[in-house]
Amino acid sequence: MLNRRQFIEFGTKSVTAYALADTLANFEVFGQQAVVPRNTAKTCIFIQMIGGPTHLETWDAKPGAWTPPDLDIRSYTGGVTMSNKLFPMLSQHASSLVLLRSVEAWEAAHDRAQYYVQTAYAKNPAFQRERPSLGAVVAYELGQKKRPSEVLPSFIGINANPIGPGFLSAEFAPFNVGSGGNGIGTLVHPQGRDRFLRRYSMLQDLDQSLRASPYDKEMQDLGNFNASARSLMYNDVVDSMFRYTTAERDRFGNSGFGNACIVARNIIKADMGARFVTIMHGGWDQHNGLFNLNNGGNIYNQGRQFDMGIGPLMDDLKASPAPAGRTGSLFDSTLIIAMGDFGRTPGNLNSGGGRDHYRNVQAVLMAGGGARGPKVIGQTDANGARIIDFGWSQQRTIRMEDITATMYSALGINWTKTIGDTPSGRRYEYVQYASHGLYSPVDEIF
Amino acid sequence: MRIPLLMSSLILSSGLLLQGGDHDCPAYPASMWSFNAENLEYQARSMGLMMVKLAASVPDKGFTAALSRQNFVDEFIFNRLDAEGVQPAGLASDEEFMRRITIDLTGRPPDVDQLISFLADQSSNKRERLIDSLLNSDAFVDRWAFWLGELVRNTTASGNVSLPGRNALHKYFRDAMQNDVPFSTIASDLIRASGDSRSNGPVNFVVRSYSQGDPVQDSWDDFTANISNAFLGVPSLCVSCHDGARHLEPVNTYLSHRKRRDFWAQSAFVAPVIFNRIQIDVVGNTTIEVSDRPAGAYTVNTRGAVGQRPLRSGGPYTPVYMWTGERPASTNYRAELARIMTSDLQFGRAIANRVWAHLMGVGIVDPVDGFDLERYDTQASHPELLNALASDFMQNGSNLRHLIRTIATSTAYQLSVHYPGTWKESYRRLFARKLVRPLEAEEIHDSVLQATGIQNLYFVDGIDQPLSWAMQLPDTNEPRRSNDALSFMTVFGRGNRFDALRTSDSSVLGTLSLMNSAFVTNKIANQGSSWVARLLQMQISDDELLDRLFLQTLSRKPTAGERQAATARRGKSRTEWAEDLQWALLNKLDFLFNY
Repeated sequence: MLNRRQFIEFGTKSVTAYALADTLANFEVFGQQAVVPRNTAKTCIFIQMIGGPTHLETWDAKPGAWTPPDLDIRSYTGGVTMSNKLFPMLSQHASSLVLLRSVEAWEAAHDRAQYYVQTAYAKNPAFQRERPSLGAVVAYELGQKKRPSEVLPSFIGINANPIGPGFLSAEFAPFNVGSGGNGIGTLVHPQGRDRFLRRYSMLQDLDQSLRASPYDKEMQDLGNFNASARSLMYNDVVDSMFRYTTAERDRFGNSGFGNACIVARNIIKADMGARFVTIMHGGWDQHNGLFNLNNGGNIYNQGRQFDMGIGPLMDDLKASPAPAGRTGSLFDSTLIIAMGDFGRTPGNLNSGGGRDHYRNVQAVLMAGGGARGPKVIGQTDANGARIIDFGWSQQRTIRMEDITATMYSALGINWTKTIGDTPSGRRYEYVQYASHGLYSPVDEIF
Repeated sequence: MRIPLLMSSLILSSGLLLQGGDHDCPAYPASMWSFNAENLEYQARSMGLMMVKLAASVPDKGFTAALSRQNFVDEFIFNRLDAEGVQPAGLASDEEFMRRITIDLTGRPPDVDQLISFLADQSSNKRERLIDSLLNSDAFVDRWAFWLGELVRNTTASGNVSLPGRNALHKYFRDAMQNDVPFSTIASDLIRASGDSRSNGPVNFVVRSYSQGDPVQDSWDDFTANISNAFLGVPSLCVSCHDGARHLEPVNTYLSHRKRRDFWAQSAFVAPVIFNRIQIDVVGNTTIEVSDRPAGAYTVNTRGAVGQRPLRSGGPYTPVYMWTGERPASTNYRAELARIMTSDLQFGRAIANRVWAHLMGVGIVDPVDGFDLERYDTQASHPELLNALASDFMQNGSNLRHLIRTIATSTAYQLSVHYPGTWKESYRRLFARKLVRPLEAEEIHDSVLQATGIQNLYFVDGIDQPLSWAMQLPDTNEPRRSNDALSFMTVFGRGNRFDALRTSDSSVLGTLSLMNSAFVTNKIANQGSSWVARLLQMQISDDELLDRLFLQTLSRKPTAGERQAATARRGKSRTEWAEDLQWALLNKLDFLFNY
């Protein structure tokens, strides 16, 4: 029976139980194929469009009998189409976009669909405790050997509560922050910085022997978290990441999503250890009143809010240099993915003037980080109801597993890996059946 | 045990020679010996043999000779340590013991005055008397009522359980712990409950499984899975959707041999259950009533909605207790299930294992809800011990206090966390020393309160008296009215007993919270009734002040090194020194652990 084992090196001092050695979490690899990940991106910004956006009005835009005249869907090179009314700023980046239009969702219910998008696995209570989210896997793979300046956690959630690290361990848990703009509450000490520094050095002195010989791995981890917490506090660079001026906030549309884009941009620009940043943007579950001006949640408002966040985000990333060791702009090293739970019913609107859940067709946006636009992969029929052209080598619908493999490949992670040992004894495949070639990256995006 | 003979053939067949096993034999270097021992152990385990002795000829070093054996727990644990030649740790000090047992039984460290008198007590049986006084305390009732709520996941988060219902179930657990109700009765009450969920506490355990809009079979199946998970420690949910074969081989041998039909036959015990959601007022509030049909087998009629599981077939299924094959003696199926289950040794094993894991740091079977009934002898670290604990428990009225007492009074529970020698990961499952356990969110909250002396009062809807301790709260979504406390505990991984699971992993956000949140910093200042304020008013020396702060927060006095470090930082202001110390002690590495 496999017990949970982590290969941890400990010093063999006779008196102490454990030594505070330089320990890395290192799960046993039970298989991987000799694939070559593309390694085009250093970080990933994963935008979850909560509720499942209509594909016909977003990333698979095409006019039909249902389209109001003002939607102004325009065509760009490479087959890219986009509503200029909803996404004017994003349209300016049309040449950078890769739109996947032959995607099929596994689930039609929000909870299960969102779980699938975050983990590339079906939600199952038997595995729930163990399964890590994609961000945690990225943190495990890429975020362990940090330089001293890399004080940020590898996996950050903004306006999000992503699924955790499962069996991988706490250090790969998401660091969740709000986009409030006043900094993070607990990054400052209520009695002020000087008092904090005095208290913290007293704490260091008192804990000296415990840090040298902690009772157990968990205590050792805590010691590391203490140090991480300290390095995040009163760090002007870190603090500035979570603050913005009114002017900046307005530039990004003065919304929760826009603010989150500011914070994400700051985090990516700072290049201080974050590798996977996820933002959750709600409001896409538009069953009614899609084009109804009396409906506050209509697609005009929703699209505009999204556009005013992602547009300037892309502008700023393109205007910043790539991280050390990489060429091009920061945008070229940052893979942006925007996708939701599933697609929405095609063709004419429903009786409430909206669209309902639709599993068969979904559309996903990718940009930057190696995704070479302008490009459209796959095609649906005139109503957006059926996929008539798969558009990639596997000649089947694209699934979340493939999207995950694509993201891992872009980040330089071998998506065919299988690791153990989970507490249940099961092995964890980064992408299910990828080692058998059943799912694979959509290489066409590169 | 026919082990030794098979052992030798195993040794010979695997080409490993363990002649004499003499550490001092120059022809057989020590490093080879330890490699072979571990390799051998692994091979023997994987062949389903239980290792009592490594080889007949390994000298019994008698490492545990210095430790007194209090009961059968010690016999099993120490015999095994002797057989494997593993040295155990010594005994925990009085401070360590009192902190440990108080946290384990009440969820918070001891009151400082009680600690001081315990330390001063010279009587020989003071540890046993301490255990008994804790078992009889109000704080014990609170903490274990909370524990039961965790076990059955009592929460309003699922939408099926109403606020009054949650409170009613919470009250049921409090009354049960107060009145020393047998755990078998509790389990039986929960399985057989009928009535209105708003007023009948145990009905909320049934209602938890209700899946509105889906075929009723899904609710029966969820109910069945919840019962087997909570009370048998077997994760049967998997086979409610598919046969075990070709799915569960790497995970659970027993379940890999089970079929959906076995599960349906098990689920047939609860098939009489009807769920009836009725509106109770004009606003639209509803309640769910649970009752039994007079007769009813498990039919697979799932007309209408597809439900949450693949289509069922066959039937109607009559009840068969899938773990032993027993059939009910009457058509009062739920009552029969309760009777059969609470007489099943596995029932005793499951709860004994859970309590063992709580007290000892890891279960004899780990994880506690992952029993593989076909591989029990290799899966369990001490299968015979768990059997003995289970039998003893069930023969003594399925009494939780008795079970806790049996484990807590053993010397094995009272070993120190400090290990004299080189620790190996394999010793962990031998319980060669006390294993460290990170505190849970509620324990951290209550420990902060205990350390700082500040009492909060939380008002929870539906509960008349204000509550002071997190362990008194009816679920993990409270105290809703006190955002500071709620967000403090959420950051420490409380979960919601529904789809956000509890975790005790530490995190950067948790650390930041303990350092900087108002919840903590409001309690360390020289104001109000904080311990810092009270101590500063006393006519005591710096040393005494230091001692008291340590005793209150960490239940021990400072070490020489800590005293020196603290004294070196005694600036001009005594107040600031005391406040800083209190802050530092709450953030100290050992504060967040039970050892």
